[in-house]
Amino acid sequence: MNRRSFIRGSLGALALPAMESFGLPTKLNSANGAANKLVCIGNSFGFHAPHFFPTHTGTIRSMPKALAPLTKNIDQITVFSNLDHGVKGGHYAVHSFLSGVKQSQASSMPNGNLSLDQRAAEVFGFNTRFPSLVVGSENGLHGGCQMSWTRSGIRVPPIEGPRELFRKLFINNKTKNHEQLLDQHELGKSILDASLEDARTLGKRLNGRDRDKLDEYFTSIREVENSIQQREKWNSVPKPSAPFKEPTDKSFVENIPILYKLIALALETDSTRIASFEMAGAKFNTGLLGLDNGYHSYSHHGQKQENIDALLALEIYQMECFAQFLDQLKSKKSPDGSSLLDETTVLFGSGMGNGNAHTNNNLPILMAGRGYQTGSHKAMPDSKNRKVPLSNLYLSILNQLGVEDDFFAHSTGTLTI
Amino acid sequence: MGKELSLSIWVVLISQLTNLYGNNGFTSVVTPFLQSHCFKCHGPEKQKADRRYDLLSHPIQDDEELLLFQDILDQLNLGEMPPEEEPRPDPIEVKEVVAWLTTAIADAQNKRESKNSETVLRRLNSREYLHTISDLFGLKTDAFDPTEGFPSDQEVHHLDNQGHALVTSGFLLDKYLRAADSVVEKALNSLDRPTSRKWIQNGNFEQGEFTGFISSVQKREFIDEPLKSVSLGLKGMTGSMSQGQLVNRKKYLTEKFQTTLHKVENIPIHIRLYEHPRSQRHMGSYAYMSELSEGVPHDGYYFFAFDATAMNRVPPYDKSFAGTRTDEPFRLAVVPGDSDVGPLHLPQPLEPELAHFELVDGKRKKYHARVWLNRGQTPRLIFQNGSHNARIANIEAAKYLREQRGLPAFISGNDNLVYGLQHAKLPHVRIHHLFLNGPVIEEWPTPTQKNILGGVTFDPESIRSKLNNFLSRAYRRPVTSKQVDAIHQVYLNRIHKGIDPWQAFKDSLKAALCSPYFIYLLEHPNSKTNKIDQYATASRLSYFLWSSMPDRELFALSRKGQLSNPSILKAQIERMLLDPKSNRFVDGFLDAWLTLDHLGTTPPDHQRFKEYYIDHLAPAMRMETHAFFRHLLKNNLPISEFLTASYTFVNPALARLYGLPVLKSDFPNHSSFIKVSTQGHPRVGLLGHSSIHTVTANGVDTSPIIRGVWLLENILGTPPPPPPPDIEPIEPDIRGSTTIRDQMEKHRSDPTCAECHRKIDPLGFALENFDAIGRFRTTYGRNKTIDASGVLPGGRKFKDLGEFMMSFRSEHKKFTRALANKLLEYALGRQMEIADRPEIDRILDQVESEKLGLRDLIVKVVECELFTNP
Repeated sequence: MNRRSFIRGSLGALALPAMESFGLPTKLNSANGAANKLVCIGNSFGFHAPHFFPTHTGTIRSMPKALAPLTKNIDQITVFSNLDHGVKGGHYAVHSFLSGVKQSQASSMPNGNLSLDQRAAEVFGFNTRFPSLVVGSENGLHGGCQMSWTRSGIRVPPIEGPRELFRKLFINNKTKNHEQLLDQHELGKSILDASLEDARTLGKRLNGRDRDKLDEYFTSIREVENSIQQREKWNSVPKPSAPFKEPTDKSFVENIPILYKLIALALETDSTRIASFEMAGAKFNTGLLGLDNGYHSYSHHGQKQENIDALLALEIYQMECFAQFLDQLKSKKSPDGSSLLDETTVLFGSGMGNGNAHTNNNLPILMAGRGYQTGSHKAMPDSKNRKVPLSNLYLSILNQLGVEDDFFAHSTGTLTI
Repeated sequence: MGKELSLSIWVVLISQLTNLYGNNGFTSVVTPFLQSHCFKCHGPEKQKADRRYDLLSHPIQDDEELLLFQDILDQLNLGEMPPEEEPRPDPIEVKEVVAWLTTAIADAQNKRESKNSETVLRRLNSREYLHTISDLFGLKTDAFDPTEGFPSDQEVHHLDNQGHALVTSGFLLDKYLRAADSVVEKALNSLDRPTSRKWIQNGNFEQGEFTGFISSVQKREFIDEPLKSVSLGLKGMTGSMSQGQLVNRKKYLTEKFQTTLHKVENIPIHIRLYEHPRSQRHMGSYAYMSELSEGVPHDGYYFFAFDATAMNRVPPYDKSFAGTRTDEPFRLAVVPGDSDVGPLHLPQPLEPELAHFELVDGKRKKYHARVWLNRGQTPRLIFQNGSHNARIANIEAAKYLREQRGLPAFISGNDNLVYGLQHAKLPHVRIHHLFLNGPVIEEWPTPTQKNILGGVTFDPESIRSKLNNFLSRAYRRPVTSKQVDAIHQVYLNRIHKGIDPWQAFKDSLKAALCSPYFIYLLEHPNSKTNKIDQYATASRLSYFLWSSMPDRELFALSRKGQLSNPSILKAQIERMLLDPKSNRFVDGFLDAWLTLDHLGTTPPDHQRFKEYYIDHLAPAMRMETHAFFRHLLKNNLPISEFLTASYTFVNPALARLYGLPVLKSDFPNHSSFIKVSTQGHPRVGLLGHSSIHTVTANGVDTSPIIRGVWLLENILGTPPPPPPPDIEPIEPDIRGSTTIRDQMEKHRSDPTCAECHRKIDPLGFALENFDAIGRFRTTYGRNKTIDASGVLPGGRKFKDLGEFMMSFRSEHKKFTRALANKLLEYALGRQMEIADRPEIDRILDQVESEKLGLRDLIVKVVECELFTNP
């Protein structure tokens, strides 16, 4: 807990109720009129540092081993070192990757452990059918990645398989026709009216602390009313037509490229502008990559070369898939010649720094796409007194997306390159 | 002389310690320290970095001050202040100041988080929601989970039912709306009686990706012209080959051609089960009716029959390729599958065992059972004690067989696999015929429908009284007409919309399930007595012992105001603990207390811990601890048994893991748990349970630190403070000959680390004799002998695990306090605070003086003042 969080914590009581502080969308569109997008990708075991960080700062001349698949994408990326959130807890702290705050510390923060992607979704999520899409592994070792968190401290459960994501994006509800869906919304509103009535009578009976707790319920009713309105609005808009046959769910390793492809399509069709992808290591079917042991075993390599080599194979696979994703974004051109990648800010990294030692510092952070196509390695100061919080980078990302916040989690400023 | 001296030193030490942690510590230790080392820059004259320490006071006043104290602690721990150019403070003084600050900050934090010893409006957590739905509607929830997709509940010290931490969000309310819809539609469904149907499947079987392999095995034709098309394979090899080799080579290529040709074309005439469902690839793990993949159209009991042949239970080889246990019969089980959830040949999240069978060797035989299926589900057969990796087994067997026949192995793994499937006599089950008939209806309308309708037909005239009945149960107390109005309004809205009365009635029930009166437990006090009322007491009791709503009897007693009668209350506790619903308490509490819900979240390595998967150990480990807890509860045994019992409960798999000399014949069947003596084995009480060794390991290795912290936190209730910032953790190195103890030595020689680690490490090292799944071991692999010796914080020395187990008994007071605390927190849905201490002490005194047992302790928890406080 640092000074800032504490002071904010004490101011927390003054903060406006969630819905009113969402802020208004501003400057959502870039100069050419295209909407800006954000993709956040995280894994749960991090990367072996010597495989990930280039040896020199500045322009990257030789690719570290795990980044080899990105060689042709080099001009599209920026690698950062010495960035982290200053949290501890090994696997139990990985979930702070996008929020900068552990769940257990959330109550002392003005925005709880609200994550980068969900903050963006609060501000401009209403523009699209899906305010955000969280994709990947529901669980894994100690819960997996658990990247996306709402302001009220709820983890957004991910869409797990390609099949479900595909159906969400392209398949109109088959079991219910338009009238039935409208009727369902109608019933939902009627139920919420009853719930609101009950909450009012209940509130009169409660004392201070219980009544504060019940406020969560009132807020929830408003949130659901809003989302029903959103759904009503989008009901009459048909989904984009499916570009290929419905995929079947396979093992996680096989799903990764398909999920990336679907995320790219979701952005292209403007079904959402914010996507997050959780890759929980424990879900990796390492056998398919020709390995005998589990990812977790290898991440605890104990300095054994054979383990480190196996780890590299797993890391390279992830980077190959990621490189394909960047290629897909790059290949989708708008009429003015710019690509989907030029409109999309991509964050790739992990809440785990060193899997072997279970540390959460010096996180592997790689940016790509809009604003970060530099081909360089930016090393932040590593001395304790001059450390730059990763939240500074997140604040800059939000600002670049048009979210005019002046802080994010433990940020002390912005981090512009 | 020597004794007296040490005693007097002890007394001085104690008084120093008391001073140290009291207010005196601040004036005698902290202030002088700050004065000499800090005030110069952070005092009245200068306030570098905006920090001023001369105005600090104790007790800590507010957040601002707490922050400053935390700052000082961090700087001292980091060794960054005072700056290098200033004189170094005495390390012993630093240690004292650090110790004082750590305690003072923790106290201030606790005060900050205090809820005045009151439970904050408590929402049902997912577990309680599910059980409440099950009891309210009489629904089977083992394969129907309306809480799927609910955001996970935030835990506080592993407790999932603490009011202040259970958040309600729009996200969750949205899920409540969906869950209410699926629950009500499922429970009340249609008033039309469903008709029964039959499904038969004799061929056209499918087994996911495995289908192709199986078909290639089953249809064998000789194809006479292989060499031309594959001549490439002979290139460069014929020259040096003998005639015999050449023949073999040709034969090999013939076979290769043949097998690849048939891989995808033909349709299998039976299903083959090879692997148990916990395998990695799931090759032949599930048998199902592919012609009923969409599942049955109605909930209900179904008659399920199939023909099966158990093949090669004891394979005719010296080596065990399959890795199955040859000394037990094959076991099949029926589990439900839902193609909407995922592919039917792979595991699904909800797989309750609906029936199980032991197979007769070698003969095709008919088996049948009555199974419950939900709409959309189809029955699936699993091979409970099948192979762990059938692919490798078949490949290895193929290589072996070919070598026997003087043939080279195939290059491609898949070719070897098919050859193995064709020729190797490996254990598997063949399913030839599947039959399903149902639903078998015994009662219509269903009991649930009758219960909620209050009769056999739906009569819209009496809608309000129906709602009144339902709501009184759902809200767990008599309802006001205003509460009925709110729900009735939903009914009227629906009727107004032109919806038929039956559907409108169902829709109104959905509204009830989203109401705050259903979602929250109402425990506000009577303004005069400041006690919660009888209905709230009944709910507290039932959510404590059943994780669900009160039943009719509890409702009746609260209506009559009899729950304040101690003898009636006691009788109710006894009754509730005898009810099978109390398993929810044992499960829920063991999860909160011993973190048993972490079992399976760090799955051990598939290679090194095969038996964990083959023998399905995770649920068995859990069951051992469950049965042990049950045993103490049922027989009301002393709390100390948790630390001293020289017995435990095992099934055959656990007996094998523990190396206990239990005969197969001692077990009624493979899944039964029996009480066995552990005399002469290092398994004493809870600390001998593999469940605990497994949840305190990370699936790869054991860590003495994690185990030590876990024991301090959960078993002794004295969690160590979190590590100071910027401590470099140990980077595990398993290359050399060092052990974890060697690596820790460095850590412990640092005085700031040593303070906590002298408490943590001995407990963890003592358990190093248990590996990551609780097997006893004496070495870490080659020549690295485990040294489990150590000194307990109280000064007791132990030289090995056995002595540790004996010494640890002396901790039973701390243990009992930790257990009582946890039970109270679980029962009340809140954290214990300083103000609760006298009442807890009173309970502990009674436990001690009256030699009370575990069941008594639970009665005391319910009887104590705190239980009926708001």
